Amino acid sequence: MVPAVAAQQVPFTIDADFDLGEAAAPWCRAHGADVVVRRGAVPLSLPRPESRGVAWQHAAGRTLILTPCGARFLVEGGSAMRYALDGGASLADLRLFFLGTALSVLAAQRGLLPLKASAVANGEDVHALVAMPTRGKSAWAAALAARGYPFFADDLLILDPTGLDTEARCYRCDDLKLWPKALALADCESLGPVRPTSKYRKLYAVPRRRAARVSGRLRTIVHLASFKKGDASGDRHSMHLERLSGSEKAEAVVRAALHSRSVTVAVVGRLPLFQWVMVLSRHVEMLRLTYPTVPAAFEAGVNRIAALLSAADSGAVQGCAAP
Amino acid sequence: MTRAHPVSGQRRIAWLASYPRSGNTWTRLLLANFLSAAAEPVGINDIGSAMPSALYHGRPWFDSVAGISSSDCTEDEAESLRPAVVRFWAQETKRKATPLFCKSHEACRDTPAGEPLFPNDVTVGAVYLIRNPLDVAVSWAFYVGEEGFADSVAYLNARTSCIGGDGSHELRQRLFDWSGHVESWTGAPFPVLTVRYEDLLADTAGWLGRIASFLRLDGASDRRRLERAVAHSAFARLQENEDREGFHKNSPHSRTPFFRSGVAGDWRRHLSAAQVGDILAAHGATMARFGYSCRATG
Repeated sequence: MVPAVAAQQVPFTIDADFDLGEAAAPWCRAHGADVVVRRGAVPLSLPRPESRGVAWQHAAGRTLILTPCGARFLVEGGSAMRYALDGGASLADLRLFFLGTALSVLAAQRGLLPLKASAVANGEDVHALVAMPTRGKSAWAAALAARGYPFFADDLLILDPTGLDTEARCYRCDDLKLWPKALALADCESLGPVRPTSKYRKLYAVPRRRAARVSGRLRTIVHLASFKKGDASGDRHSMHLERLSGSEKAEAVVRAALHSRSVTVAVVGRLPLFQWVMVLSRHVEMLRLTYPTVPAAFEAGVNRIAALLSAADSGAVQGCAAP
Repeated sequence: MTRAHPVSGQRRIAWLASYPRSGNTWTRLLLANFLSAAAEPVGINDIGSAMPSALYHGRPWFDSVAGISSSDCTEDEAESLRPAVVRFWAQETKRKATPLFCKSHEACRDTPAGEPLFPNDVTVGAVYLIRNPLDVAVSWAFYVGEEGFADSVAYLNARTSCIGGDGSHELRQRLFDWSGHVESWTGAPFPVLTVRYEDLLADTAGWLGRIASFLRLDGASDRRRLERAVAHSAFARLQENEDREGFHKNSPHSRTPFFRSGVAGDWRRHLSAAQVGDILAAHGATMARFGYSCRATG
């Protein structure tokens, strides 16, 4: 059972002509929204792109996103988005890519910082988990939800840098998605396939507890890493916890935590991004947990993170030496 | 000897290809040490900083270059996008005369969209490492942490063998069976230098020189530079390096170091006669073509 979402402010509102799903409901307005999303004509390329990647182009405040499933998005000036569906792309495909790359671009165009992070909450505080792709951050968040930390975000955490001088306010918008093996590890129930094809096996899942709030104060970023240089090979199945320093913090955010990094850098610009990250690193505790990516170590790892967050919540996290 | 195309325009990719556990990582270290030409060895965890390189199956590399998340894509979608990803990487990476090295364990084949997975237009050539499949079976079993070699033999013999994909931290890689893998690469439509692992073991400096010459690298005939790269990449040194600081590429399931043995002929200590027979039955013709038999050394 999903708790009713309290009326809370989101950084912008969306009027979309398709269902964005339950987690994004607080962002949706039928009339007078900040951003209007409609099906329409979307070009295959932009004239004279200022920057581009394989799946995106950016020019004059407009960003084109080309997904391999056939969904295309044109995000304009942070206030309008058009999409087109080709090649058999479904509304489920559209929703997945909208609540990922497209929404992160939209947020970046509006001066917000999209982080690729799963997150859990503790009251007003939000603890984010960042990692390289498919390193299990969603599964860890789901497992933490069963240990008293309500699930907050799955893959996209939107940060408002305007208030960074006082606090790092962040927002969630997406539902929990897990690979089948993670579903079993995190002991969650499935809500069905994310995409309507047997070739894509991720499933929507129900966390044991879910945060009612749509926003919170980002308190901690835990960087989940699977290797730490300096481990002896005979000790590869141990865990190491360390507090990151200034430059390490910035690098961890930019390398592991920025959503759709190349396009976000293009939209935001390197200098503002660097300034945001430096301010962010002053307000948010950043830790790195190195853990073995084997199912047998999952339980112990989650318990370690839960203890760590508990210590952070009580203000007891000091210099984090390896155990 | 056929040589790779010169680096020119977007034709910049040198593929370092092999079936898994055939000496690919060691060859990358040899090349990294050769290119760095430094007094100190390149660390086993620092190959990427010593030479411009990528893992063609790496999700972080794919996501970074593509600009979208591979975990939102089906494996077919991601695979079909990979030629565009490597083309973009070839176009956008800072211009240098040295090729961009791209490691792969995949068979050389087409994507589900019908395009070559290894696009000819960006390729200078490929170094294809081949190793006695009897030894590959043993090494693979230790790498994945299984002590039963039967599964490993079955893996080498299955036309549908894949690694990665489906939520793993690597994209799906279709291998074919061992013979299919060999045939796919030795018949590739661009220059390929096939290097037997056993020959590389026996005359490392000589074969490193041939690889460097094939790839048109500066210093390919500099014997001192080649020998220093070989010394820096000596197996005992790599084992010591792994023992001291670990190796990010070792499987978390493995109970042995990544650089475990490295010798030729280890299969004699581990495989049963039936397992040897299964591999010979499936791959005897291809093995003979490359000088492998169950009697010959290696």
